[in-house]
Amino acid sequence: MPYDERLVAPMRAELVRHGVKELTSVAEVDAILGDPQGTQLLFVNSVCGCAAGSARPGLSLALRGSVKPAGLFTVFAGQDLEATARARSYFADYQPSSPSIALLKDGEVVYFMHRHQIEGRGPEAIAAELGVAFDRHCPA
Amino acid sequence: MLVTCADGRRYVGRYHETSARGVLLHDVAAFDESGSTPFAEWIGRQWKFGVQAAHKHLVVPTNEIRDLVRFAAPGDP
Repeated sequence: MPYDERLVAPMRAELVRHGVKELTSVAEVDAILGDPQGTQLLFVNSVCGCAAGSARPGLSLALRGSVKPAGLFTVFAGQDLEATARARSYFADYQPSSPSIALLKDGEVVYFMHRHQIEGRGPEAIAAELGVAFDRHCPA
Repeated sequence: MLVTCADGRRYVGRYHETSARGVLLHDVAAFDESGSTPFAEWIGRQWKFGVQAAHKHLVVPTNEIRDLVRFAAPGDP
């Protein structure tokens, strides 16, 4: 059952204010991931405090760099259920994990950060790893 | 966490707590020692593609555990 939207709204806003576009419907997901162009980052947001509490600021820190994906998107696991399921169908080889971060290039997953790679790490460490992935896969 | 038991069983899962019953893990993948997949390949896949949970919850008795370590990238210390 989804959480009260009032609880979740700040977690959505934490990404949106850094230029990450929310995808809340299947149609929105298909419009973006179904027509892959260049580099796209998809952040699977989550209420989970122990991981998402580091992942969101970690992504925000990583986006301060000059090299980053061309498209920045997010779905909210446990909240926008259909949109999240549809988004996951675009990287079905990867186990569902929330939070998680997928980096796609022309529709192919080139980097994936699972929840188990987030837990126990601070935002700086997460940002550093994302920065390495951006440098490797995103055009400057 | 990666849990290795004295008898060779190996599990990857989210650590929840240690109680008198043992270590409670959530979303646990179990390495099949009798299978054809080498452990290094199996653990590498768990890392890359995510933990393929076979058990929603699993308690591993403390006295059966030989090693309990953070699930790290293959090759990392």
